[in-house]
Amino acid sequence: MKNQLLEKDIAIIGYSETKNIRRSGRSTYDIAAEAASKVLDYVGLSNRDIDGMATVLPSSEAGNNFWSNYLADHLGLQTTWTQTTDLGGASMLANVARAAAAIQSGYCEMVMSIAAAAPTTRRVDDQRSYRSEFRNPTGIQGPPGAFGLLMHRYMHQYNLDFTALGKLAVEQRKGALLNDNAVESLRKPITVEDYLNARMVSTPLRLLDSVMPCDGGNAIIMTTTGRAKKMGIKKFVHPIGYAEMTNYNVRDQLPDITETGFSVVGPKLLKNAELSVDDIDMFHPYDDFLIAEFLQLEQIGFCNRGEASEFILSTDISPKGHLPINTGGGQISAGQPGLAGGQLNMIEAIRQLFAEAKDRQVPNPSTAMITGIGVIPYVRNWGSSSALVLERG
Amino acid sequence: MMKFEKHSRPAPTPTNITHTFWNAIKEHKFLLQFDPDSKKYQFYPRALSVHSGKQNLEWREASGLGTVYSYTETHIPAHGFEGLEPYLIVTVELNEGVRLMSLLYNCSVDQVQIGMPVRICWDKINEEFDYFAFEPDR
Repeated sequence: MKNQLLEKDIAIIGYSETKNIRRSGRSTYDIAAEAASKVLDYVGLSNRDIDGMATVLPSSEAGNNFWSNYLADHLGLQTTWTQTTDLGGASMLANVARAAAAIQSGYCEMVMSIAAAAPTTRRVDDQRSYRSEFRNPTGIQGPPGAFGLLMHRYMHQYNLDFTALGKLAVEQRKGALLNDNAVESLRKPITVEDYLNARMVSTPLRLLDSVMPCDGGNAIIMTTTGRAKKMGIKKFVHPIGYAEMTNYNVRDQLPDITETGFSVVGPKLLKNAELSVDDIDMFHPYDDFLIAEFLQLEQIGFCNRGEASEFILSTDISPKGHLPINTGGGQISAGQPGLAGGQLNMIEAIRQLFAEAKDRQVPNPSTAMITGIGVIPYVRNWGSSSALVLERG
Repeated sequence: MMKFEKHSRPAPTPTNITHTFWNAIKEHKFLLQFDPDSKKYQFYPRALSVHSGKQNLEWREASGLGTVYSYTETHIPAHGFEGLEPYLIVTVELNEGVRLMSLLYNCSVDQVQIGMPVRICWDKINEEFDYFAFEPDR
């Protein structure tokens, strides 16, 4: 099947981000309004110019089965295409692909893809099925417990060097120090020793392997490349390839949990975008836990299976390095604003491609790969894997 | 075994899909769904076979025997488990070819190993209900 995105007929023309704050006390709508008004200012448009909206259902509003409608109403958006995606942290990348398809199909022309979440102020989600009957009664400590199980199994099959995880934590933290939108309590330097000595949450997973939840939001605006040029927009990026997988290995009752959807998504994305990993200037992987980045590096093909520790230790992943990774701190060091976290690393990638990353700017990047991960299923790794390549226009 | 009187551990709420499973658990029997078309088991219980997409499923009693696939020692407890930390949780491959997860009892963190034989045991979570857990099959 032809990859329509390679026509480069779709452009992301603006981005916005609120500051990440723990227990902000803010309504999800207030956070969304800030993200919306900032992104409209960025591109010089009003809410009247927006005819499409995509969002993610956050845990702070999960009881509302009319979420996208309510959100668009609050923002004063009259839309001809409206979408809520519920693939967890994979949703906001998925929305780029869905919005691109909607624009290409003529359903809308100017899309705001917006995420806002306040999980440290309000949580009203209620997941049933396997979760209430087979997960909660076991005492597993949520996602950290699941990733503790994943890490021990990875260690059983491959070499895991904790100093490599520590290096990744330290490098991302340097990005957060330079990122005004990062959670303030995370804006202090850490060392590999700090990582190794961090409190255990669910062995062998430490506190510094994990994201810190917070409240926050972000938004992008997408349109056709033709419209962007007509508007006189100077800076834009094209989504040139996308791939997504939900429920990898779901029918296999004994899957290898160290193998994720990215083992399919990564190679498929690169083929669709007609690129190799050497063509990727920066990697902005979804980082709920550091080990998830290791698995992605291996399964997308930046290094061989089981060799992520060596790869991280031998590669300069700083903004000036061979493969810059999550230069704004990622979610690990900037905070995870609930399911808006699924767009956080993409915002940083766009900021870099627009050459607006200031002290942490990657020199002249033209391509970025961004990924998303969603949902912790029963005794597997994760539910959805999404990946996107952006190219500077 | 741990004592749980002071804690309110989350208990499962059966649905019409799982009531047969939980009724058997009350009698200390562990049932698995078996798909006679594909001749495979599945876990967790669903309203259709993931192997065939059909609703043709039978309940069969499992051996209760398996091996540890992975483990984690929980230091920050989940809701309802406060004060019980640290405690071990394992994923287990049952001999019938399915993987499940629960607490591991009668085993220290120094003793637990991937591949170690375990068997299902019973874990009193309140006056009415024993959840399933594991212990070493020594």
